[in-house]
Amino acid sequence: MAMKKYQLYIGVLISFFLNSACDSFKDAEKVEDVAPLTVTLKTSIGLETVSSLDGLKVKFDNYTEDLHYVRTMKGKELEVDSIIPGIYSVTISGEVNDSEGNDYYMNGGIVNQPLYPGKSEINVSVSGLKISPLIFKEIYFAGSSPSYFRDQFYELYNNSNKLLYLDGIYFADLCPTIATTNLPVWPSEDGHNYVYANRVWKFPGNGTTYPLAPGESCVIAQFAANHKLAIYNPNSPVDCSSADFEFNMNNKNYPDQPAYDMSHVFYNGKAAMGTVPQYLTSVMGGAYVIFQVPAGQTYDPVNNANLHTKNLASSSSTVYAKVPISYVLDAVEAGQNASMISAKRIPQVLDAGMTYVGSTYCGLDIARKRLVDDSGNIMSHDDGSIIFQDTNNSTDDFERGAVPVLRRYNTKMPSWNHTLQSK
Amino acid sequence: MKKYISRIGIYGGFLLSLFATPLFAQEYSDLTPAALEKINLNNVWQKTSNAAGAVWSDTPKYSYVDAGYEYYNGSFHRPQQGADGNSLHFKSEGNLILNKTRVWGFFSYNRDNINGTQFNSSIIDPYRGMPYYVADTVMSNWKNQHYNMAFRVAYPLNAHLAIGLEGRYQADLGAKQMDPRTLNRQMTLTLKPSVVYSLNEYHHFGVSFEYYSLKEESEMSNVNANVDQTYYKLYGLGTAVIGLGSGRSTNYIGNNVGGALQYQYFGNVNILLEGSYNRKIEDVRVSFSTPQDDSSVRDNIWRGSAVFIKDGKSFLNSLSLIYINRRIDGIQYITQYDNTTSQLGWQTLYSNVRSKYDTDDLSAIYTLMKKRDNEYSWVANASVSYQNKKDIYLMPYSDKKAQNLKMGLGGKINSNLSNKLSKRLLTGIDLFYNKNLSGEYNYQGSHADYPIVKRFETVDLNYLITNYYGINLSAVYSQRIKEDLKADIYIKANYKYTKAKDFEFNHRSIIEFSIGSNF
Repeated sequence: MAMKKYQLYIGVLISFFLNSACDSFKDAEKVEDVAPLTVTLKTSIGLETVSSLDGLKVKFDNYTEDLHYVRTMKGKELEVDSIIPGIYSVTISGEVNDSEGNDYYMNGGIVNQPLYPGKSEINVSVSGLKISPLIFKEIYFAGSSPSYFRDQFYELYNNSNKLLYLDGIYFADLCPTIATTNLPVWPSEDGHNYVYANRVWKFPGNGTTYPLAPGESCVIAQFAANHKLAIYNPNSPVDCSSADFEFNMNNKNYPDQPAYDMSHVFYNGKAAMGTVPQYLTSVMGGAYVIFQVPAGQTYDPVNNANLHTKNLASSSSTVYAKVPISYVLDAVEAGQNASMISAKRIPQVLDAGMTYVGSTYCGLDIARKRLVDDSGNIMSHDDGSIIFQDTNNSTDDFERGAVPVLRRYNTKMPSWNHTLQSK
Repeated sequence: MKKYISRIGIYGGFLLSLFATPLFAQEYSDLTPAALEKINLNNVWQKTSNAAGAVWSDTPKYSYVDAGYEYYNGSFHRPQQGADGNSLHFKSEGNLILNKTRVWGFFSYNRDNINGTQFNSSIIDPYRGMPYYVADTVMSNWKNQHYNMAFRVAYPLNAHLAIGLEGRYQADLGAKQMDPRTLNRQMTLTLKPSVVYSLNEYHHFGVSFEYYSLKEESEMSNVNANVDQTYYKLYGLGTAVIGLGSGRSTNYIGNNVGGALQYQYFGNVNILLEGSYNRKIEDVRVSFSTPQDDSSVRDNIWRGSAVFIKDGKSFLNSLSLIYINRRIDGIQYITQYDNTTSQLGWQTLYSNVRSKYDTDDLSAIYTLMKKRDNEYSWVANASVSYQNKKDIYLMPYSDKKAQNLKMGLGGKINSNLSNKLSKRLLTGIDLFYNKNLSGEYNYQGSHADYPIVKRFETVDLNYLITNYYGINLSAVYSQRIKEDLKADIYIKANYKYTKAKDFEFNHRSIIEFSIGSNF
């Protein structure tokens, strides 16, 4: 009897091993050599006044394997051959002039689209944003050695040839804080109409307090001090004491500086700042938007339940502010490195790509490229102010790994900057 | 000294006593190092995967224990091998007959310190045929431990049929010492049942099966949490995906099945032929909490061998021919994270073969031995081996190839210093020369500026296509412990020097000392 039991046990053990082996063998037997794929791209247009996408650039980007294919749109359907199977971001982008004479930058696409035999047809809806006068010009998020993060800053720029006002324009950093493939789940009724903010700020003013002329930059610092001082971090590359605004969190160890304070609007469902001692966005790279509420509308994500939500895929109680995509003036998404472009979290209509510095606490940042013509000459407005490249694709629009410089290319400081006020 | 040697003998004997009280067949009066070499040369079935064949081997009873230390240094090494390192080892082996059952056992323990390695952050042995692991550029040390236990039993059912079983258990621990560091645990469990049918005293036919299960777990981390490390997830021939942080957890799970056929002719010449085939599938999964299929390998090994031994009155001639063909297909997966509650986790959508690694090895070794009692007075050998490596990444296409021919000549002299206490001095010399016949590395994938391409794969190819020559010197002094005690003790020294002739390489030197006992 004992002998039979041992035989049974040995038999069960052998069966277990062989069964495990059989499953993995069965799966592996079916695998064939890789072969190039032909993909069919079908499009639809989300703007009534735009009827054709001819001439728009079509890009297939596999950021993980760094494979890229570029074609030009003709008609509403396109066949692209020789694609290596993988996960792709497909973008259709370019400038069009609509039937009413407005300039739009069209963007459409799909992020993280798997392409392989049996799944080689994709449908893309292409929509557009009017070309924005106010853009992110430079963002320094990575911090400096050894692990100093208080020197972060964000520089906005008037890229147009018209005067605009910063009063009432919002700034927010988006969720998820860093690029990740484990994306949140938002309410299905939101569709693709919103992005979701961790914390929201606003420029103060009565409507005309803070003008920004063509060619002028506005710098918002996390902490508007000279970070190169010995009391802070001599390794820091920046002196933010001339910043125009700062994100003052009332931290007595890092007291309020002469720069103007941004107004706090929203954090975790409340108007109060909370207990976090500084406004720190991820040193690996966050996603940032500036947006403007249309005249006659109000934006109250604290009290309006339709303008805040939780992440439905998480048990956390953190509340995020909804930002309508139609309000967004500019958006930039940054991540850890090139391969994390596959984990982008901003809709492609706002930013079709992702930029990066590639390491943390390295004292380097991202800086927008100047627009050049076909001959390589830097383009500018009639008054000499530089025009920066803005294709709503931060992969293409930004230099990566630059040493941070406030008001790079000598862009002008607004006249109301605190350093220009007579004492 | 005698007390410690006796203890080693007792512990070694204890291992074998696990198989109960032995009853002996043939025993040698003296088990000198040369006698043990001669036993191993004649033990043709031991070199096959068929344990049952031991029934028809007239292998005498033997046991040994050995403990030693090795040190190596020199610039002629592959990027993932250490600039220098050392190793402590202990091993024990024994063969005996219990009633009719032939029993063989083996145990070894190695503790390795590998210093100054690069481009390996997540696998204990980067040369075991697994191209999917994580690499970094930080110079680091590895501390590894290896435990290896094996047994073979063979039992004759009748005059014609014998059954056998071989079992092996190998456990390895590895720890990288610099961020991004890793702690690795690996185990391999092997079982090989076998049968031999004896037509008559001349012809014997064998068949054996093999199954092994392999598992390796790698947990990467940063001790300095303030500094994120750059690392590269490798996909073969320089194709890599960059990462930033503390690395990843990787789970390697492999299963191998295979079989072999043997034929022995035992007449004036002892001929043993074997053909075997093994197929392994090894899966690579990332993360233990939310597993993601990353890659797999389909590993096929064909092996053919032929051994010819003419054991005459005064001389023993041996010719051994081996051919190994190894084909590895590297499979990569397309996966996507699904965070809906019904499917939460990574979904595998598609897989295809993206790379292939082919190796052909052909070798021939001829040995001429002048016999003296149950040992030898001298032995001479000549060898030649050919290797052809061809690795391909299919799309975007890249390849890495190397062909080499290696020749060797050597010999040993077993000097009889004294018949009293059987004092022997066994000295040996081997000379070898490797000629590279061809080689190239063409990388046409992305990120050709990555250090994985420029420093790792390029330098690795340089190693594979370098011409080199070298010498190996050995000396073993042995004697009986006591005149009436059969056990021999020995002290051994070995020095190997390899000189490279090409690229930036210089030399590689290995020195080893060991003590032991044969009984």
